[in-house]
Amino acid sequence: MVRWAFLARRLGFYLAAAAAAIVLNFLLPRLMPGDPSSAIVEELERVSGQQVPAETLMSIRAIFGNPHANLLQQFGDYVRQLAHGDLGVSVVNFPVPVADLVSQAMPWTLLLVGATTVTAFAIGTLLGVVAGWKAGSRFDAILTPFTTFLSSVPYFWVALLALWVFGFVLGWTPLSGGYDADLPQGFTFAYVLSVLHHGILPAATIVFSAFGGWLLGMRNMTVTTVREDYVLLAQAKGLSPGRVMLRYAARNAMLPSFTGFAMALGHVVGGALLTEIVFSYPGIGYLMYEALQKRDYPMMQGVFLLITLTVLLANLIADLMYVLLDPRIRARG
Amino acid sequence: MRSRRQVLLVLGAVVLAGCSGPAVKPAGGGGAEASITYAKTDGGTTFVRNYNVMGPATDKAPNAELVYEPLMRVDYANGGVVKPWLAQSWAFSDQGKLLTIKLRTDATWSDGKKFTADDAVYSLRLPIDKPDFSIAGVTYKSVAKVDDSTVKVTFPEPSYATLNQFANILLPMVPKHIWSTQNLNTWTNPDPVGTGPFTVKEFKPQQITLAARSDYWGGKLPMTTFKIVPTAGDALKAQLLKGELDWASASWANGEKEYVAKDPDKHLYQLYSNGGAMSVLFNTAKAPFDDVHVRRALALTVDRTAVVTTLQRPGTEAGPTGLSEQLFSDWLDPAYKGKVQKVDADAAKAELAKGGWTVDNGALVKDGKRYTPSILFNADWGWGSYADILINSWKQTLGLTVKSAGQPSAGYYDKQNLGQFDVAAASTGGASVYGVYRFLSSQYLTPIGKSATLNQGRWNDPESDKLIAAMQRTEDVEELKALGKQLQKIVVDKVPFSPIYNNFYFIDINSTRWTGWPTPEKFESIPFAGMGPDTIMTLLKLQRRGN
Repeated sequence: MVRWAFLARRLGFYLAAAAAAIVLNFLLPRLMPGDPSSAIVEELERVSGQQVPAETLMSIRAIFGNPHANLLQQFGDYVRQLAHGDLGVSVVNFPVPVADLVSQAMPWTLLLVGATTVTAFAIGTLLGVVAGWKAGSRFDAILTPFTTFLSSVPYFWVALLALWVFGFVLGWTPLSGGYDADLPQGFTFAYVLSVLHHGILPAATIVFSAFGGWLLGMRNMTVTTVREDYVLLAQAKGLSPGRVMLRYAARNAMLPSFTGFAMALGHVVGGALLTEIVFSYPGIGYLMYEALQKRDYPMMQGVFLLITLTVLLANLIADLMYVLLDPRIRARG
Repeated sequence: MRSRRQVLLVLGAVVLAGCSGPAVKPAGGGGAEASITYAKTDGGTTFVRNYNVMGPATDKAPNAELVYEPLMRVDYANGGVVKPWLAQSWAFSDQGKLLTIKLRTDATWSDGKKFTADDAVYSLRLPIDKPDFSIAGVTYKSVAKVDDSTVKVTFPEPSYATLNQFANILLPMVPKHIWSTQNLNTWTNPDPVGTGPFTVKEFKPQQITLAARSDYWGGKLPMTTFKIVPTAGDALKAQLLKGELDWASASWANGEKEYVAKDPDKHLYQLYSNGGAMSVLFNTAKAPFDDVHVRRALALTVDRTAVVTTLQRPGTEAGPTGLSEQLFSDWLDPAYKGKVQKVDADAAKAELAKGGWTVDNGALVKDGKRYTPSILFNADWGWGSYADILINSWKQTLGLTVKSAGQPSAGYYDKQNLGQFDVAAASTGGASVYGVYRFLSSQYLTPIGKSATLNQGRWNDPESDKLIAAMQRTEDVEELKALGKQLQKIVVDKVPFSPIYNNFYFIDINSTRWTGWPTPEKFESIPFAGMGPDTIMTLLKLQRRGN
């Protein structure tokens, strides 16, 4: 009974949050300075290397001219479109639908960022438990400061260095792209291998830069948990150290990390912009960056909406998992 | 436990990739397949299959100019004169209000059909018939067919000077028999049929393969395929050094040392003037820059050499006219050739004195009014450090404090268009002398607070107007040159803007597989891949190395 009431309340909260997100999602791009027409002019100048002729400039203004007109009607149209599952047509890629662009980029993002988020969490958490279990041991004394150092190195720098060393100097990995474009695309062995080959360095740099955060959080939580009475009791009962560490200490210490992990999973769909730029890797991050830069409202809204909804969904799932993981919530709920 | 297995898996994958991954292939390919690979650095990490080339999208499929061609081209090797392309010849009549264009008769679409006047009329009419669709922005009012290879275009006013609209990449020739059957507002034209030398053979988001036509009107291409791949900054440098790419257009700050010096024979890094310059633009509708003496004083104390040194482009300081010598040597007044204004504090102070200005505590003072100007620049271009050079120079020579007012792109253009600035770092330029200076016409004048399209500095000078209008009314080259020289004098003497350094197309080439590239010393076409006909001309002249 209590549990259902808890769930219903949480669900209501998330629905309200989603509605608010849709409104903000519509408003925010329009509150930013700049408009699509000046972004288009700048882009044309860059692509052609020449000043845009005055006549072109005027016709761009005429088409994309006044983005501030009739906000309410725009919003009505937007909601109606959304109800039909239509994300609209991209401005900079006119007439390609936003949904097509997103679905072209999404698999790469899910693969790269999804896999690395899980891997970084797994490595970081596991090492964190070990480091925290015997705080002050040699393992901890070396690993923890080293990790602190690692997580303070800017990601961009790590990625560029890795590209230079492994891609250029050693020649182990390709320098750019997500697959070998000379191979036919499909689930052939050679193609899958080329995807792995191209993905390994971007993935490794993300894991390298991200696992430290998980490790530090987990280590610190473990250090406090280890001193709890129930851990002492478990040890007194003569349980094996491994069982005590993982089942008693780690399970409790993990709760905050777990929340963080759920949120990180939600952010996966946002892509990894820096990785995509450095390695020319396909993905959502660049799509969003481009949309922002060029004031492509439909594209911005589409990608933001997707991110917001996924984060909300991930949080909802985390909330539900908490109910299972932590009996105290059930009791209080 | 599961996580430990994952670690092993990842490690395994690393080892596997390190040992047995596919070896890096040379981009050129061998044997019968003669391929050239162009790296696109500014198009994101993936391409979108959108060949709706007339539409308002800015991110169309790259290098579509190799498929769809314009009627004319701008000859940058020759002062920006308009030359024929799909048009064979043309003539103005009715005082420049009627243009009769003769089309080539040997051009065919890649589906085998002939290119005719019907196609040209259809293509030229699109911007008029669908103003909500095309952003080409044309000035003619009607287009009509004369015979199978002739069309006539009518203008509301004399239009000799705007002939280059037919060279606009936004106004290519498209086949009527295909385009007229489509809904252009939803059609992405995945398999483009054009008159150009290439067709789309294969389109992957990270590699486009264009196949050379055997029946191209312009001649036989030396390559069978043209590949386009996306890449970015540092990866590009590594790929060029490794020889994975043949060609790219991207600036490389220390390119001479980091790239060319490694193999001067094969590594080419070239700068071609694009006819324009980065300039200090004065807001002449506003005190104190409505006073020529203040403008002159500031222009005299810009440390141009320090700026190009920081840019790592020595010797690219702009002359006082804003016309680059590489492009406009025949058009430049000899008095301004080879001239670069060095910092001259005494002359600048004399100018201020002449105008009745003093500098007090960092502010410009006249008649009891104090002005502390600011310089607007685009922070997205990373221009902050160059603005600082100007600010320091003005501080040291004149004692004047100019505030730094960087803005991201959007705000930068907003403020410039609305006239909400004192001085701005802005690029000036155009395809011809007329193209460079036309923005000074009061035809484009708007009051401060109302958005300007061209004349952001709000220049209002009857003499400039007269000269610009005269240029619009003639196609006589000698007369144009004479008018151009008078405009140069106005720019130098009255300083509506003051050029700092020349702007360039940056070209990176690895000529391991292909030779015969143009050089900035001797070129007929600029090998900048965004310029359709120039790219085709460049490609036609290349040879396989060793052949």
